[in-house]
Amino acid sequence: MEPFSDRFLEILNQKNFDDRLKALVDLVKKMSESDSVCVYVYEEEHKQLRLMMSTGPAPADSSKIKIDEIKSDLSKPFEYKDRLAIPIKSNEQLVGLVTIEMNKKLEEAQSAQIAELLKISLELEKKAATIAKLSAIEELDDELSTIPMNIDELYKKVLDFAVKVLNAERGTIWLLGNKELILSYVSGVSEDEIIKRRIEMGYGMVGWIALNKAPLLSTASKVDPRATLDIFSFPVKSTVGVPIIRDNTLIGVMMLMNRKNTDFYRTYRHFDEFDLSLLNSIINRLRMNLNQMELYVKIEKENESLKEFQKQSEDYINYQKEQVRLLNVLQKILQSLRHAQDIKNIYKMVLIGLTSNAGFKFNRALLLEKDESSRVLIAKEWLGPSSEKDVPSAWANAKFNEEKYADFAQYLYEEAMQIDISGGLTIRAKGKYFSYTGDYIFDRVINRSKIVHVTPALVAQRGEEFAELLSLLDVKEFVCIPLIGRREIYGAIVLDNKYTNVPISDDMIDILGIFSESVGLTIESLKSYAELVEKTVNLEKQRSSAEYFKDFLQNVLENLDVAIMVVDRENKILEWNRKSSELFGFEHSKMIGSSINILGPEFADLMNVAERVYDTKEVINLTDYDFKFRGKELFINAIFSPLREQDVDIIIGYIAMFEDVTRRHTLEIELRNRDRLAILGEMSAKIAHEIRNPLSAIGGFTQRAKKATTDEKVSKYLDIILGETKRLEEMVNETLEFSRHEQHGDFTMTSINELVQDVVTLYTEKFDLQGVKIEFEKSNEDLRVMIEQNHFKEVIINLVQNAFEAIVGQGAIKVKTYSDDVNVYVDVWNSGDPIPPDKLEKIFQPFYTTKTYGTGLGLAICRKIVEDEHYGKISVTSGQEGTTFTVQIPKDIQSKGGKS
Amino acid sequence: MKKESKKILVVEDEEPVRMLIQEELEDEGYEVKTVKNGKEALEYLSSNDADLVTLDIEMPDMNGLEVAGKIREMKKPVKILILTAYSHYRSDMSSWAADDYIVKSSDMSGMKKKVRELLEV
Repeated sequence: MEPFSDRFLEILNQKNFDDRLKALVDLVKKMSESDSVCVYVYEEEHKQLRLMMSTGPAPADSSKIKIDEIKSDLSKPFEYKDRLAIPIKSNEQLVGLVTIEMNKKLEEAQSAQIAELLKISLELEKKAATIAKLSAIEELDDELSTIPMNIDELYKKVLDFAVKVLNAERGTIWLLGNKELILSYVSGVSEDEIIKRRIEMGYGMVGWIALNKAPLLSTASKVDPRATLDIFSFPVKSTVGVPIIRDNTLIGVMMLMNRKNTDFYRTYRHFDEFDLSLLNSIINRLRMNLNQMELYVKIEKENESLKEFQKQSEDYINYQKEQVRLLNVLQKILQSLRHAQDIKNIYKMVLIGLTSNAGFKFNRALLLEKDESSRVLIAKEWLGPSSEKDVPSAWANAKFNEEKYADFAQYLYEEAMQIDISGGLTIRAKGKYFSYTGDYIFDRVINRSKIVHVTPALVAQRGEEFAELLSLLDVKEFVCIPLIGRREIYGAIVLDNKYTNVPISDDMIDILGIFSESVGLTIESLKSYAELVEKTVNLEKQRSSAEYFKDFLQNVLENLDVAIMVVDRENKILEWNRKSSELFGFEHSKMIGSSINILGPEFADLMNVAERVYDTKEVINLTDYDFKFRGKELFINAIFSPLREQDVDIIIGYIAMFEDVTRRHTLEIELRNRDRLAILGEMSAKIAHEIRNPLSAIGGFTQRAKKATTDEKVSKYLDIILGETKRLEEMVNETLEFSRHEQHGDFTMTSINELVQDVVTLYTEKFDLQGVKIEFEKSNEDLRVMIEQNHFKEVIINLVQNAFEAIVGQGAIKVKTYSDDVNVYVDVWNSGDPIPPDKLEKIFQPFYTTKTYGTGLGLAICRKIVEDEHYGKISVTSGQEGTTFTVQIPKDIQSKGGKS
Repeated sequence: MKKESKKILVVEDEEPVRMLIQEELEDEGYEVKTVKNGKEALEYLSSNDADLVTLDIEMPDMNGLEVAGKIREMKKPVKILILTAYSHYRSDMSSWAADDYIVKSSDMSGMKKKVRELLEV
């Protein structure tokens, strides 16, 4: 036989209790050489020996041997049912029993070995069961630690686990509630087995555990009367129960009932102290878990509230972000508005800003403009998709356009320029108008500058009062905001989310409040600016046109060939034009603001006439008024018009207009004379012709008669006839000379000095004899002009002869030639008596003569030659210093028309 | 001293003047023929010659200037002296068909001088 230690190890190395027992049986078989071997284990609790393993034929009905049934001494082998029974003892303690065939035997040492081996096997089995339970608890720990459960699951799981690990048939958990214990969880207990679900403290074992807060172990062998109480209908053989206590407070009781058989062999079949301690540790774990769970719940709760808090702050941040975004959008809208030129673009920008995705995101925005006169709001523009089916494309388009711009203001500005919103919704709104007096919504919006948020509730309650707007909008929620300026409300905007049905938040309403005022103000300032620009332009226009007219009037006034003065009621001169200065000789600067009296007494008569306009209130006309002024005689036409205050029939002064018609007046007189002369000329020619013929005949025949007579007396008479005839003929000649007006002579370039010298030379001697000195003051310049020599010479002769004739007695004649830029002059002066002014003006008239003899045609002919033929001028001045005739001939006769 | 008799045609509508001129010229020794108007003058000249014609300007039907023109058209070597009551024709005379002109006067010496000058040439 191999050494014992080897067998010992061999047995211990066996996997389980059975194998170990088999190995033990085999060892006994070998030791005793008995074919049949039975091994019994002593069960102290039951005072019996239980057959655990056998080999070979075993005696029947010998699975248990009650100790008290064995009559023999157990300290040595004895005969039992025809077999040799050998008690197995370790340290005098009975461990088990081995039976072998009667004729076989086992040494004492051998039985001691067997006893140790059996004892160790039993202990190993016991330890294995303990280890299994402990590892099961580990399992529980694992399970409980991994999955966070709710409390029901925890109780259930712990209960099930306890039942399984402790091999209980049934398990219950009673929880304390309102001073009674309530059956809360069961394992292996069917409903119909439960008699009582609620028990009071102290009732039965559960009640005892709860009341005493102490564990309780009870077996069928020590029947506790409390176990038999009518709680369950099944028989209770053994129980193990523990209170569930947390923080010294009883929560409930766990109670396991009736231990089942297990794989492990144990000598005691009911719940034991180990089970109780196991259950305690399970309950500890439950408690720990409950704590954990509570903590977890707390943490969860904390977490939840943290999450809630986080969510709240996130919401708040998002809300803030959205507010900030909307404020930015608002700022961008205002920024874009600043670039707008006209009000229509402003409206467009506002509407785009309100509906755009990057803006206020409203589905639709309707702009209503206020019409003050009829006290209505008129629908102007409505932006948004016109129907549900237009939504995707409209928003896609808008988004596409929007994303092209980095700057929202830029987008608004350019989009407003391009977009045409006159179609779609605008067509639907066109022509719609809403009174804002008494209207539920618009009265608040326009008259009270309120934002009105219309909710479905309000629609249900008062919808009928704004049915018209509702039917146009066809929504249950919308908001209406006024466009508030400093001076007035410019209109309103109606916003809704027809397609997305997103509710309009109070925060949005708040932002819209800012929008309402700031956009209103911007619109106002733009409108004011536009008005200001227009006013400025108008003012500029007015001013420039006023200035233009002023300049124009001034210019006209200054350039008018009419003297104009404006005089007020106080006789103060308000206006005095250039011609006035020219005519009357007073400077403009001196006259404006001066009294009219500055003009002197010569004006008194005229002013008296002028002032009559205050009474007559009508225009006064003076024609060819003979006005003696500063020694000159002027002929003026005067018009005095009343000066009226604008739009009022008050005369605040008069306008005096003076036209110097002196020249025209003289020309008219001349012309009148000329006409007379022309007629006279014609007549003279005819008469002369008619007279000349008979005169020729008279004179001719008288001459013949004189030749034919010798009678002195007849001859003397005939001489008289002849003399008179001659006088008549001379007169006829002069008359004819005057009237030969159609004739132009030969114009040649002639030296005036030479011509005058010839005439002077011709008369010098003749005049000298009669006491009249003739002198020629010749111009140093050789004055050569185109003249009709003979005619011009006739003029000079005529003037010289006239000069001679004007002198009575002794005297002097001076002829002078000189020139200026334009004319050549010949003065013929005589020292004779002055010619009275009334005669002076008639001196050039035909047939006017002061002489006894003379036709009176001489000077008329002179003027005819000088003025008509040579386009010159002949004039006369007369005074104490003598009389001067001045002939003026233009140097360039061509420029004056020349000869034809 | 008797001059060689030159033939003068006097055209004058006024009888006394015509008579005066005729007598004055005949006194000078000229052969004088008188007619009353231009028509008669032209008729006469168409079949007769004359050395000189005196023409009054102011005549009924045809004035002296016209008559002068017609006479010139006859291409006859005849002198023409215009006698006029107007004095203002003188400067325009160059354009006339006449050889000279003289303003009528009671003093006939001027006329006779002109006639003499014209016929001497």
